[in-house]
Amino acid sequence: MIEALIGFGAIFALALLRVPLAFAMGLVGFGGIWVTRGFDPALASTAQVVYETGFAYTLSVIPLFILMGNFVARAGLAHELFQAAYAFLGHVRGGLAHATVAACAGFGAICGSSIATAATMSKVAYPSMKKLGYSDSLSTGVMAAGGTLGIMIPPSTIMVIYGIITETSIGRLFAAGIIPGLLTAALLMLSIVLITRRDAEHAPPGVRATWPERWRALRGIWGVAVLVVVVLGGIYGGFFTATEGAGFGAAGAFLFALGRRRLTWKILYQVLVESARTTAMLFTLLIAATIFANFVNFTTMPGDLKDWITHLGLSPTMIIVAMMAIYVVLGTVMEELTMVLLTIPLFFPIVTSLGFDPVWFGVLIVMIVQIGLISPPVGMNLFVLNALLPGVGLGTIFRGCWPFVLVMILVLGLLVAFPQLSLWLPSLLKV
Amino acid sequence: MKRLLELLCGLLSGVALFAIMALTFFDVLGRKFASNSIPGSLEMTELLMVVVIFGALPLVSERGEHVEFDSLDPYLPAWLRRAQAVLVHLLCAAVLLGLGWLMWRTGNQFLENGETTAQLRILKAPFIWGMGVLCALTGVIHLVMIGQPPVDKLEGEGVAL
Amino acid sequence: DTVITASTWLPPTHAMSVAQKEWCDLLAKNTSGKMKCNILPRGVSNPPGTYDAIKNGLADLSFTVHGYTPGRFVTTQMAEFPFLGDSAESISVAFDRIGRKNPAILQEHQGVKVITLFTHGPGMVMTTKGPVTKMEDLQGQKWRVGGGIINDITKALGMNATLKPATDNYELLSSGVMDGTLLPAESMESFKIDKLIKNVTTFPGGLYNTSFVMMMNQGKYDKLTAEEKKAVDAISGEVAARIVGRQWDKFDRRALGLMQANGITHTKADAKFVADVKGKVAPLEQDWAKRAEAKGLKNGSKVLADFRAEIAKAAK
Ligand code: NA
Ligand code: NA
Repeated sequence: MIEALIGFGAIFALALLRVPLAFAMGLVGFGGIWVTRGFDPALASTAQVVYETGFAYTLSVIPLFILMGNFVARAGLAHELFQAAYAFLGHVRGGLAHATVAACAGFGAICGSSIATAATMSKVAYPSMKKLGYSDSLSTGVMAAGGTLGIMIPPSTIMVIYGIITETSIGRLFAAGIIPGLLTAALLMLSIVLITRRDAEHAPPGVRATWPERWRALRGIWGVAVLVVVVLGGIYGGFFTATEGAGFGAAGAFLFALGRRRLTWKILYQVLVESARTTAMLFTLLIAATIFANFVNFTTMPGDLKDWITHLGLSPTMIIVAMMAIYVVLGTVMEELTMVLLTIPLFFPIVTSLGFDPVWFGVLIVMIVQIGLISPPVGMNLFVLNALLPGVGLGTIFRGCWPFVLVMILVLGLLVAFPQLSLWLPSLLKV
Repeated sequence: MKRLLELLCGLLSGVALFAIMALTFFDVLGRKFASNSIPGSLEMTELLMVVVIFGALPLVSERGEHVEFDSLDPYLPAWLRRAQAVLVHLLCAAVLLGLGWLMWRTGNQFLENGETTAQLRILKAPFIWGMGVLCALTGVIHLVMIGQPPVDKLEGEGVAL
Repeated sequence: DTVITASTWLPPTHAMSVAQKEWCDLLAKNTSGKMKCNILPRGVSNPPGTYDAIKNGLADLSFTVHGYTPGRFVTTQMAEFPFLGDSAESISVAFDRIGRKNPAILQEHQGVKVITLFTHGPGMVMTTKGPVTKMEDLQGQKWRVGGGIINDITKALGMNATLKPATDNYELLSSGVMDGTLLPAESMESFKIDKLIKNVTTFPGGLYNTSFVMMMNQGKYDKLTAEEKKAVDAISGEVAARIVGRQWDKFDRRALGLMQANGITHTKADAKFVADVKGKVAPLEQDWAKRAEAKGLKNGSKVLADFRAEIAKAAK
């Protein structure tokens, strides 16, 4: 137990010194195995983890989904999505905000990243909201919160990472995220109704679109629809595995971008290299997390922790609630990927030993990440919007996002209380 | 020099990624419509993954895109941050150069054992050496970066969540 | 007291984990508790890396499939050919005996102390669709296969086979990506595909097999006292082969019982089907003999014949 605790402490210390997390985890894991098993085993195990993670076929799902999202962002599909959502929702009070959430949900169905979703929306939705006189705090809050739908509605990078480190079916995780994602979208819209009722001045309704206009707008999103149907339909319909689906989706998105003449050689190169870089960054983390987990495996920590939890005498649900509370607090100050990679080796064995479904816990983790991404002071989505919209200060963004943080904590509570929200759909699908 | 490196690594990893995508696409199509999957597509994907990951690694380090805990930055004086950067680069360089040596050695062991892929019987050793070389190259990049001021990257670039 | 750190990449309830634990318990019993295993909660490595993990001392004791590291083991592929035998116990005992008789075979296991060589039970054909009764049925569907000689067998039989890890079975079959898979009976339970499989076709002696090795880190073994070495040696070889083989057989029997309860049709390959398969795979044996001789095995074809005779003897 004590060796593992020292290990965790050392990682935190190194991370605080601004050593990249991957290097901190890898180094501590290596040192830990050196101490517990010897120097040569530590070398051998490190080499093994490096080449095995590199040569792992199933992990190709990561770069392929990232690539798909990046192609889609370049193909300009987000614009059509927003137009379609606006045609249907624009005429109500706060119509643009509603349309933004709906467009985020749609975009989330083809992009696995929250930050990419928020960033894409800032280009599409913000100018319209600015023009109609929406307050900056409301519009950035909506984009930040809506963007997080990108990781709950499949595909989702964080679900893939969680699935890989916990050996949980990615197909089931994806299916599990659909209802929570739509529920979050619905509650975000409900909260927009409440907010704009109080501050109607800053969220005027738009013009009501005619039905022919609406149909035209709907026709504009056929590209998105085709991609979603092909990827998710293909995975759940028995056409291919999740890994293959990612490759199919990326190829489909590539063909779309090509067909819409959005691809020059230069853009193609940029998209590919950017996706490869994100992949390399993630794999360095995965490799390091595995080295560290191997070290923890040699310690008595997993068993000790289980015993300790059992002796606490708390009910299993209370333990989950306590975990979630810790996560929400940690999420305000920590970068979320760091938080998940550091805590999963600790929490996951407890959760499974309590008899909970790993898929359900995965959905809770995604929700936690969503909350963390928009909870000040350290929230990636907020920072990205701040960087992309130089005219809007961080303070304004912080003010706009907190109602949505509360809404998402409420959703988290619902997901904890009603596991069926996450588990019903995967139980229906043959995955 | 820097441009050349960026271009080489970018082409290497980018082309490999595109190849994985195309391979998966045609493999599935072939299996469904011509009832024959591409022989060895699985192991080709694996080999190409190695190229994507380690080909892009130098670029990740060069652009400072590793996940870091930078929340303390605003509270630290400039000189301390500079000293911190030097130490961190040295540490990263040491880790990566060590890893480069380790993977080179592992490649030699693979050659000795004659380990190949299952279907196409491609020798794995060259790919392991490649990992080692690119790790070491990334280590050298960290050393070079010691003398340079840290780049201000655009927030949100290269993130995964 | 000597603690042996043992690792398994299969769940604790799997036949292999159970067998390894049985071996550990026997060691503890024979040494009155002076030697015992610490079985780690998680495998120290994924399946293909296990051989090196033991060789390099990451753990002291584990087992692996030879075919997981293609190119490394050639002589051991003789235990993967079709129609070897109907019980894992007799094949394993014979495999271990032949392995110890022909130095070239143990020499392929550089850097580890071989506890025993063994195989699982007869490999069969499982499909989610109609029964497989003839060659054409094999050729018209999409199959998942693992590593090893089975690759060459499917190629020789003209099957549309894709190499995927065994752990992907459920996803591949439930989603309909693949129509069938080649596995021993127990895998129906351990990979939870017993509700998906509609038909199983068995061949007398099995359509294929998979060769395994159970091994100990050489350094760990060398450091044991003479008495401790004796305790390990006493339950290595044939004794260990029997322990593991019996567990595979036990789990196979249970799975076959489950099969009936689930209403899975059981087709037994008829004489023509068997003869067709035999005709197609015969060249593989000569090819193997050549490759094994290049690795130092003397007279490969004779060793294979000896192996078959030894299996028959062990089966009695
Ligand atoms: Na998504
Ligand atoms: Na946060």
